[in-house]
Amino acid sequence: MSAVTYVVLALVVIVVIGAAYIVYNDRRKGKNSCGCNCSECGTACASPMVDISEETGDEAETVSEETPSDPEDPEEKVEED
Amino acid sequence: MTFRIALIGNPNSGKTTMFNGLTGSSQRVGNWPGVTVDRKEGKLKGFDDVEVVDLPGIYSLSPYSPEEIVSRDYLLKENPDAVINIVDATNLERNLYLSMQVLDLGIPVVIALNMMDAVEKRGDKIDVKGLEKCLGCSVIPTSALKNTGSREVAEKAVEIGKLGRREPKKVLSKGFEKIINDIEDIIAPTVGEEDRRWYAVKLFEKDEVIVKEMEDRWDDIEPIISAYEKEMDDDSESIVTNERYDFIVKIVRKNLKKNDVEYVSSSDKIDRIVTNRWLALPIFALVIIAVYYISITTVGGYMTDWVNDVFFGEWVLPGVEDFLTNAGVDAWLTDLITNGIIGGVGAVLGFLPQMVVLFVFLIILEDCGYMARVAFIMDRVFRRFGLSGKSLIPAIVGTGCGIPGIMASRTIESESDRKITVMTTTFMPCSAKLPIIALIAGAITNLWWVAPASYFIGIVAMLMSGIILKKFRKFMGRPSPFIMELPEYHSPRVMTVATQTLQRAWMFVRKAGTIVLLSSVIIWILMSFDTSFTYGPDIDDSILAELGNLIAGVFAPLGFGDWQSTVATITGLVAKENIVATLGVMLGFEGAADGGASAVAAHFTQLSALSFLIFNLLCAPCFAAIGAMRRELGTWRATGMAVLYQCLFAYAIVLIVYQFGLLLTGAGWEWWIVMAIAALAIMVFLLLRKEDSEERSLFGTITRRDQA
Repeated sequence: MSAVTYVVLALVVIVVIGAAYIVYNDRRKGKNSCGCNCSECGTACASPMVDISEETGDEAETVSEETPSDPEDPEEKVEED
Repeated sequence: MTFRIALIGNPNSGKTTMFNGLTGSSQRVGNWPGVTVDRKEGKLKGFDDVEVVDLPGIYSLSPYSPEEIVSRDYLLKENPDAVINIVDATNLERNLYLSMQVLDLGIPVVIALNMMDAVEKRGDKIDVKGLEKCLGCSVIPTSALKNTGSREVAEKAVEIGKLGRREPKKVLSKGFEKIINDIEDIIAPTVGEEDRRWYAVKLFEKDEVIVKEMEDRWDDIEPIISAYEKEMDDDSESIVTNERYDFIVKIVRKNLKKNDVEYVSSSDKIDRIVTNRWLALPIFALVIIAVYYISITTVGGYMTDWVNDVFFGEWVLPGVEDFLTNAGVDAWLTDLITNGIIGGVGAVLGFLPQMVVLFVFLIILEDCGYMARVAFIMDRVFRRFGLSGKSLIPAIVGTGCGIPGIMASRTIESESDRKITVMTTTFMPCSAKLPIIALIAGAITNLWWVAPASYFIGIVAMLMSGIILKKFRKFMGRPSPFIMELPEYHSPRVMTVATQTLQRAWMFVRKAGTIVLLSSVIIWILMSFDTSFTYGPDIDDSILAELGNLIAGVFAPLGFGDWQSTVATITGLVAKENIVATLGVMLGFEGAADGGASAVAAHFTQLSALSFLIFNLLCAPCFAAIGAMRRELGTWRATGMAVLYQCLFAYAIVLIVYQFGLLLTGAGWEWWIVMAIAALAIMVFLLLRKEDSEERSLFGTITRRDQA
């Protein structure tokens, strides 16, 4: 291989390592998993799911074999609100 | 020490718009509830030590859905120094219900009377000073959209927040206040003065969390509540609600002077046509067709052609190739850079103009208020099949990226609807799928409808899956009620459209420069060596071909059983953009529309290209989206089942499309037509079958429990 090939190869390796580092760093920080910008995203995809079970007594983690339940009667909520 | 101000209000009252104005952030603003499902923090402009927290919209401090829990927990557990309660002035009565609850907390509150410009436009008048006096807190008129009044509200919040918490004003009926006082006396030894009223009211409401917390005092409190319930002939929760609404109605009557002339806004006039029972769906279809046609086929297509033909085709690729060759770089490295990196990344980036045009249109539709109508229109269709229009909001969000779409499903109260939405949101064509849509649409040049059809395929797939899954016990249940206010139409804001378009475009470019680049290099390496690690084999003897051939047979009944298509589909699991990048590296087109289209057209038939597109639209999403599904579904087992369902559903649909397509186009037939007929029969059975008796009885159980 010529010297110039080594130089260009080194540049390619730097670019590839840089790209891998960006991907790794994003994952490590728990952000950007979708390629979107978390700091600009109102849906906060990187945040963990709130455990509803503690608050409402529903099953949040387990996928029940029984019929899934609605947390509360929504119609009642509408009336209340 | 940081001073914290929480922004709280009903969904769609303008919290995020005000947050952006106060902090200089550019959080996504939506015209429908559920855009913010987690809190967001930012520094108040000009105050380094003041933090503003944007909370998800809620109707009351009694939590029903996860984002309501986020808001309530923040107020109760993290004790912000002040609260800005954003009230939609065009709907005072409903918005003040939350204000009453927030005021009970004793945290210093400033009410931002938002959308005052709309109130004035209607000819209504609100006595702000009178409202202040009745509520016992500062009230400041604002228009978050025009950024007027927001600054005064924030400064007032800082001012009163520094004075600390105070005892809430007692404004409800004397009889009720007496009961609350009695409860306050009982809990006085364990609850501080500032929190006492909040606890007393919550105990009166029999709030499960608070009752559990005050278990030791409950035996003394319960008889007082029961006696009052008997006296009022109502349950305690309704008594509190009525008390609050009685007060709200009284103060609204006193301080709001409605215009005597009946006001019909421009939005109402437009809605008479746009949400008309018969016209709504055809108008929606026309809008989507126009958007995709302009973005992919005409304006966006012309720009993409230029990028591919001139920018990449004439400038970048020959320029780099000449430069490297003249510099004496070895041929293999030149090949890696030109055909591997530029070929892969360039194939994806070539579609950027089409994507930018599409983003602009979709953001305009969202910002002007039309997409909120789409959710409302589609609710009619979805509800007919036992589904909720609420599932449409994640789907619309998912057209940008599937992951926020999956997360937006958190706003759905019904667990079964939420799970179905999580499983089906990624059927919608996200921005990462646009390059493959544009590529196939370009390859099948006579079929202009391919691009808009991909959007409708997503909606139909969601609908079909909803109907099928609802028949299974695990997903049964009443559809979530879908109640949303339709926002007023307004001209799209240039800054919003420009900012959101640039953000999405930048993220697309960033992804091309990272994940797609890495994937392209790996694809090139696997394609350039054979199994004995010899460089430059015949492409069909490469490691990539060997790997692809291992499972290519699986896709043979779908019309794309070659190793190239198989590898492209598999790399799509890393990121959907990779499908085009991989095809770009393997089929040797550096750009897209023209060169790419002809390469694809030579590789696929029209029918197999269509099958390839539909399969990649509907099958398992990228790993990041699968991770998001895992977070929402709770277990890997449930996630695995969801992904398996998506793949089987995609396989069955494409098998039917391809095999019947062969038959109908006179291209011959294969024995796989038998399997296609079987798949069609199963699908029709699943769509049409009724719930069995056992499942009906379970459904009944839900109804009774809910009513209890």
